[in-house]
Formats: sequence, C-alpha cells, structure tokens
Amino acid sequence: MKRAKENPVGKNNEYDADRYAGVLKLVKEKSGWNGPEQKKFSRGVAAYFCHNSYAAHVVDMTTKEGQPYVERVFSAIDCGIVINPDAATNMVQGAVVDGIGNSLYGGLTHKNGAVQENNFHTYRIIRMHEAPKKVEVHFVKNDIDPTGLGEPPFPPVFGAVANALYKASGKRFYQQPFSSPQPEMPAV
Amino acid sequence: MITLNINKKTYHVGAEPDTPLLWVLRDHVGLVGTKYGCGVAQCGACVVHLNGEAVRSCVTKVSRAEGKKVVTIEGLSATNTHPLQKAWLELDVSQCGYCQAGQIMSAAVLLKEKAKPTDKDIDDAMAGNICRCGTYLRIREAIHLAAELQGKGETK
Repeated sequence: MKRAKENPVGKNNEYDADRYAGVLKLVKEKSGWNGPEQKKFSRGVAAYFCHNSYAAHVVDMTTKEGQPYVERVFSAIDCGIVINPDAATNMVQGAVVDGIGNSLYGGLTHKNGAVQENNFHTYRIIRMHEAPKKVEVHFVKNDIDPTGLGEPPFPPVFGAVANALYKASGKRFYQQPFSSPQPEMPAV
Repeated sequence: MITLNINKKTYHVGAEPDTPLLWVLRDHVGLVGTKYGCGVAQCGACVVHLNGEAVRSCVTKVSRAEGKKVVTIEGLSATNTHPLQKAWLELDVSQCGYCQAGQIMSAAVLLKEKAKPTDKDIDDAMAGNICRCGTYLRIREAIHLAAELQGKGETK
C-alpha cells in the first residue's frame, strides 16, 4: 500500500490508492473470496481506474456445453455519490455483460485496411443464454462528487475473465477474444 | 398498391412486392417503433408479429404480409399496458432502448405460447435478440414479472 501510494503505476495517474484498494476490499467481502464458493467456480478478479472512478469485479466461471460460461459476477464500484442507484446498477450490469461478450467472442480482423466482421453474422455479440444469471453490484458510499460510470466497469471485466480462465485452464490469456485459439506467447 | 392490416388498421401502400416489410412500416406508414438493426435477420431489432408469429421484418417481403395481421410495438396494447410493458417500466429495463421494441415483441410471442416460461424457455425464445447495453438480466426478470402479471389477469 505504501509503495502504491508513493509510486503509482503509469505517468499522470492520479488515482487514490485507498479508493483503488477500497473496491477490491468491498468485492472481496461481498463475493466471499476465499470462502467455500471458491471451490464451486473458477474465480477471477480484476480492478480498474479511469474517468476518476474505481471498479472491481469477481467473476464466477463454470462451463456450459463445453464452453466457458460466467455464471455470476460481483462488482464493487466507487464513482462518488450515486444519483440514481437503479440506473447506475443497470449500467454496471450492462458493462459486465458486454465485457464478458467482448472478452470471449468479440474479435475484429482487418484485411487491406477494412474490418472483415461487417455485421452480426460474423461479429459475435453476447446473447441471452450466454449472459450471467446474476450480477451483484455494490457501490462504495461516500460524499465525493460523482464521476464516470459508463466506461470504468467495462475494462476490468476482461481481466477478471482472463484470470478466471487461468484458474480453469492454467493458461494465461492475453489476446482477446479469449474463446478463439490463442497465439503462442514468446518465452520470457 | 398493396393492402395491409397493421395494428388493426387498413393501409394501402404503393410499394414493390419485394420491399422489406420493415421499410414499408417505417417509411410508407410512419410506424418507426420497429427498428432497423442489421438487415440480415441477426439482431432482432425489427421483430413484428405476422398472424401472431414473430418475424424479422427486415427480411420479410411485404407481399408475405398481404392478407395477414401485422402487429408492431405500437399495436401491442392500445393503452401501453401490456404486462410486458408494465414489467419493463417497473424494472427499468431499457438503457439506450434501440433493441427493446424487438425484445418485447419476441417476448410477447413467448408469453402467448408459455404462460410461465422457465429460464430455459427465455434463453431459447430470446436468443435471436441482441442487446449491446447488456440488459439481458433485466429482460429475463421482466419476462418473469410479466408472466406473473399476466397470470393475475392484468391484461391489456
């Protein structure tokens, strides 16, 4: 924590290490991290900061018809004062659902400068049966002025899904979409 | 001239028989609640009912609708009080809303066929409707709620 405060990652990164850790602590508590749930699922966690907001997710992955399936997600968000909790929850749930779809299926390829996936028959978007059954969203309560909520919950989904896949398979996933064959990583 | 019955009203439109029904609904008749999404029957934004069945109006030739009953989102309920509409409002399902007319029209056929749909029924019936805002959880919840409202006799 001391190191995180003294040497923040990246240039011009004005995050508050306490709030960053805060969402991780909250999601740890709400998801029962290290509890018996750990055995039922391949769990992955990730946290993120952008638009002056903090987001962390725990994804609980199983398999469905031989494919990775995120069954349940816990989210902790610090975006200051939440004006409309129900709409804010909906946005976070949507970011999680779309994030899972993008991380697993949403590949774009280019040929001669043109995107090859030019409609939904080739560009796969997550559908009803692939979406989790539950996304539990928790907001950190404070009296800080409101900050972004559209983007912040989206990117950490990718990390959490990749970590759950690592837990499930022992393999690291760096190239999205994760459900496609992964290129060999160079040996370090 | 093609004669159509849309939402219980008769319309005469000057469209070629192979014009997509969606074009006729939006551009000739002015019912713009039905949306254009992909144009290739992949997204479900353009779902309407043709004699009670869900069809993708973007790939349905208008000639196929002749002599049949077309229902669009505008005609689902005269008072906007279809159980699905009530449930959608109650649970604040929509975000951007673009796909939602199609979602509701697909769900309406499901509820007509299965008064108490299971999660699996919903998975199957709604697989053809995509939502980029990711509101699937609330759509599922709203379909269950609408089934409950419908069961209590709260009909349009």
